[in-house]
Amino acid sequence: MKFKDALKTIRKYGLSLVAEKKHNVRLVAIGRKETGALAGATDFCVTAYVEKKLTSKQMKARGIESFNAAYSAVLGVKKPAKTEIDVVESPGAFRPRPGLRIPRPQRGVYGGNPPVLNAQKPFGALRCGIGITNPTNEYPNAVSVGTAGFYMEDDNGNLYVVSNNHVIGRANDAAQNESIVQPGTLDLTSTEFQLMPTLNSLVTNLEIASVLAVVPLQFITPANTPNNRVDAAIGQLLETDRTLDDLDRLTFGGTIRGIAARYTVDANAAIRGSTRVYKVGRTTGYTEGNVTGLAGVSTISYDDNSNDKDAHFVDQLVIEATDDNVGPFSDRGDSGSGVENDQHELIGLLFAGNDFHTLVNPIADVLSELRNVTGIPSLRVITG
Amino acid sequence: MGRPATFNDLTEVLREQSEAIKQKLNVDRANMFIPTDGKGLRIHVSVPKGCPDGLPEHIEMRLNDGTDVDVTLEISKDFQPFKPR
Repeated sequence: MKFKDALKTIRKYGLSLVAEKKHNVRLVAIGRKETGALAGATDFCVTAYVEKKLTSKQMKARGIESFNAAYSAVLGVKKPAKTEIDVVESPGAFRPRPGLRIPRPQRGVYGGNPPVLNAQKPFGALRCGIGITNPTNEYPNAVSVGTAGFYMEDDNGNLYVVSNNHVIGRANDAAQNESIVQPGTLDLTSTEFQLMPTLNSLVTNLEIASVLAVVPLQFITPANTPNNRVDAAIGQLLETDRTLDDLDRLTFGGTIRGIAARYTVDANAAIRGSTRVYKVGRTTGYTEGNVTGLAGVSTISYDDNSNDKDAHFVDQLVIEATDDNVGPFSDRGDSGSGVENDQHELIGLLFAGNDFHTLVNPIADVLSELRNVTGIPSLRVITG
Repeated sequence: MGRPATFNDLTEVLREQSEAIKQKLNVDRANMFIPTDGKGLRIHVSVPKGCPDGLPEHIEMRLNDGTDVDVTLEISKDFQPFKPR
């Protein structure tokens, strides 16, 4: 039925449908017969929310009327069309959510961190900020994880995921078409390890993308200290059972709205542009920070056991966590996170940090390098 | 003494002469950036804890075009290496 007809029905008859005890209906609302969000639906129905779906025999034994019968009786119609009504289970009475007030000794039972979306778990709908791994030459003997920063598309409708080279590109060692899995292998449960004991079984079950290209990291040699600007790599999303409708979404809500312009400063080096930033990453989740430095320079060691993989970076954004965070702006496993400003514009790609600061590649450099290494000039960030 | 470095001068110096800055300070490890707090154009240099006191607050650097510029330094002895996350 049309939305306006469903609305009219509920407004006129909703109270009668829920008031009668024998109907066993806790709530009526506009819904749709097919699964999925209401957005984009064109055909609606009146949905009844019941404690539990019962068989005819069970209903008779309890003196409960089916919603079909209740709907007919209340509306005075012979029989509703199958697509006109729906019934869903919603156990438990609807109650107001007052503020939580308890005796103080019980704080240990009710207090603590709020339950939130977990960026480390498998996601049916891929989005920004979730854990990923390239498990090649590693699984099952070792596990690792980084973050899916953001997604891109091109003029041919191909879709891509972006993270760091050292996450999905294995710091230059990855070959094209190597698998990228979600969740990251470090976040697999012991049951999942048992069910996927080999690389093949892992890839079969959890692959979401394959490596397309990396921006090569240029390591320092005795003769040369090349400058690096980005630690980035890109994978092409594959056709799997994962939903690809949320690629502009950040794990903890909101969407990427655009790409920020490069930061500039005034004569006193006061920065222009929105410097209050946030990110969503696999390890520290949602954190907020401030851009406190530009043109950052540092030598990053990609192998603690050797000097052969030191890379010199220039022109980095430097971010400090705000005092409101519980911990640091980023930590190990957050590599690859997209960083946004408070206008929800992408400002860069997170790749390194220490106890005080996080380093972020400026987004203009990331996008330029990715278009260059893929040879796809139409590559663009998916925004909402 | 050269003219005071502009923001563009500082970014060029950092991009191309960070090793030279370390040599002038006689340090082998440092992180550097331009602070954006509006308290003046300068390069912040984090050096290792054990570095001696009295490191220079100004150094002169020569840009690619041959111009000499005066670079203000802000030194902190809290160097920590950045690591990939």
